[in-house]
Amino acid sequence: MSWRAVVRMRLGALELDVDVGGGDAPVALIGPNGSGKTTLLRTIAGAHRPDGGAIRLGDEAVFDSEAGLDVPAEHRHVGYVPQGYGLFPHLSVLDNVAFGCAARMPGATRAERRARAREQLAELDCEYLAGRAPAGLSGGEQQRVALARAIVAGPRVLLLDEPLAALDARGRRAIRAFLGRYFAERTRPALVVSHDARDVRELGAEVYVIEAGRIVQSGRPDELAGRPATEFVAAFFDV
Amino acid sequence: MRSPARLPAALVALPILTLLVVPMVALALASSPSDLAEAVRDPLFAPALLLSARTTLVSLALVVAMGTPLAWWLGRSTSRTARLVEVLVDLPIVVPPAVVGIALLQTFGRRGLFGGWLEGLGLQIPFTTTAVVMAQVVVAAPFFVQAAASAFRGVDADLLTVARTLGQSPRGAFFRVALPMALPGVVVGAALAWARALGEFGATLLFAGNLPGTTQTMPLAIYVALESDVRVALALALVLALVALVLLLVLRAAPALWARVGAAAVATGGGPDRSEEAGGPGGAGR
Amino acid sequence: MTSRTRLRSAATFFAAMLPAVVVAGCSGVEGTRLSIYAASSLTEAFEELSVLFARTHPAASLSTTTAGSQVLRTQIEQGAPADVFASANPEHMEALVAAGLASDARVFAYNELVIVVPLDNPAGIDSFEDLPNARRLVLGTPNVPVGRYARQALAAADSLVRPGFVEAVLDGLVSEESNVRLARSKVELGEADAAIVYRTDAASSDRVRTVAIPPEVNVRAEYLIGALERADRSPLAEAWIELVLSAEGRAVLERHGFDIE
Repeated sequence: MSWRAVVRMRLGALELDVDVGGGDAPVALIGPNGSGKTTLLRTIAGAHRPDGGAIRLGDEAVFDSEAGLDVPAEHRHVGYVPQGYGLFPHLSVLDNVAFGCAARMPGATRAERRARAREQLAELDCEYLAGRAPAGLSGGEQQRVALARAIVAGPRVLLLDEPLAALDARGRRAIRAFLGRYFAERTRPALVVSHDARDVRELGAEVYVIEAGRIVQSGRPDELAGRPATEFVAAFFDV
Repeated sequence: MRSPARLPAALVALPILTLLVVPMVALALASSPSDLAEAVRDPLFAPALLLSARTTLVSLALVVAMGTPLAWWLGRSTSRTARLVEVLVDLPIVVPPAVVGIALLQTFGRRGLFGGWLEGLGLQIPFTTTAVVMAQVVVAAPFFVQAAASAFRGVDADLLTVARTLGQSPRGAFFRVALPMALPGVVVGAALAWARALGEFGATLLFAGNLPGTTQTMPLAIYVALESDVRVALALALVLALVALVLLLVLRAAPALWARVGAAAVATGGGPDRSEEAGGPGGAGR
Repeated sequence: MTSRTRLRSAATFFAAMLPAVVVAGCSGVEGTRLSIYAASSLTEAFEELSVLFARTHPAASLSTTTAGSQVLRTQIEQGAPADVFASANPEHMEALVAAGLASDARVFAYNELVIVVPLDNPAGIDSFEDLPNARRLVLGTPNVPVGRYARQALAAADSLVRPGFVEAVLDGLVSEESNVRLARSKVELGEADAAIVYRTDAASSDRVRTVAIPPEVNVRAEYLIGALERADRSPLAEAWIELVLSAEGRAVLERHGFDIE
């Protein structure tokens, strides 16, 4: 399945004008601070309404400024994991993940949703965290729970904002490997924001470089490393 | 090992602490148990207590019901209109209660803005218990709205976005994520509003009047009692002070209590079907 | 607390402290201050007397506090710094004398009760017998002199007008005010259908209409004035009382509607 987001909008001082897209493999989004990476993710998720453009996920258009189409976030079927993971502090790990089941399993009882949540946690090797409170988890554990929650809802596209940013070196290595394996084992369209070249290489992903709200280069990691279009790209791949 | 900065801080706090605490102690000491018993039997006492209880509960319900949507908007909106509305909502705090009372008369009184209209419908508001509730709502609402707006403001927008992507409508995201997260602040706001409504005097006196059983709330009863039997006044004052003290304790305990309840719910997974939680080394929540 | 609310709290605190600081600094020169506590109904008359007093005692700084006599009495019992007390009935003054807080109390004026109604008379009260028409009647509390006097008059009326008259009248009672001026203001605002106040209060307002109360049931309110027994009582207290009892003072009181005999 393929997806594409053409977004034009102004948010505060940021002027975003981008055209990004991907297929079954994850796509990486890199760029300096304030360039609009998080804003783009939030917009695709449905938190912001662009001034112009179109967003298509698979066969369905979820936004089209010319047609006046704006599908609300709850019907877009995207999985969003923000920076800081966004686990609900007032719910247990299990209930956090079960929260994601509600949309996918209408009419299911709480027990059924919890069972499904448990399965999902097991898939990500963190079923043992089920009864815990999010506050007591390590960064890596929160990461996996947040991922489980996003996945269990059966999203068309995953939107991950700096999934490794809040982790220590060991955690980063572990999660990087985990994500690499995860995406290699299954087709799961994703847009992953990162500021670390190692993540990007591990994902083997197509890369978009965004600076000041505009795409300045795109391609595979080795292409970018070989012919960096800007100083930022050069520094990013340490050329 | 006492840090050198601690001692001067304690000295600075002492005068105001004394001013706040000692009068309450003096009040408690002023009445003997027999004085209290006699005062409780005074015909002024029970009607005033019941009226205060009834009216403040209704006022609180109204304030929370009407104030929560407003607080939500104020807490999340960045528009200039919202900032202006915030100032307007704060008005009853800075305006003297007596002025609030007169303003209410000028609005809902017989010769007021809506006077003719109300009279046409056969409705009268001044001198009724409804007027008491209205006066309380006006003076108490700003406290709730401010505290609740602040609490809502503190909810990370990303969490709400996540909730939306997981299938929640904006309403669902509010009730299942925003409200539970903001609850400690909202509860504090409600307690403050309730305390303010309980103590309301000036606006009530001018707008609702002073009639035992109908509009004579505890503060008004204390004022009237002072003119006849000081002992009854002291007993009423003590009861009111105790109620306020309990509210204050609830205020301080609410966040901690909530955290403990929440953690316990989290640890046990809450709700029915405990058989679900058989597996895993799930420890108690933090 | 956000820094914005913290700043506002600090500002409010200091603003509240300011009047206290200012007042504390204005204690006046020792020996020239005089604090008078007077029943609300004496407001205008005592204002005029203050002006007269200032002519003969230019260095004096007068302060007059008016409220229901029962409120003033309670404050004096609790130690309020008053030098002279003028009460609208004997009871409150006698209580202070009995407690040794006041001395040498003398009757200085009389008053009587009237009914006041708004200028447009919404309840159609044209005579005393019409009083039950008032569905929004305002009286003084049972403890304020005007409230007590009003209830006395109504009780006497039961036998004069018809049995059950008092009950019918009190059926329309919607509020009890702690001083006569508050009661009058409810009528001036048009909120109340009627109130029972002093004749002098009716006379000093042009926003009410008066309905007489028959002399057979009316009450003769006795006003007493006395100096308060305090260690630091102002030496001007006696001078003030002298003025009130003088021919000049009595003329002022009469002009404001009080009876002197």
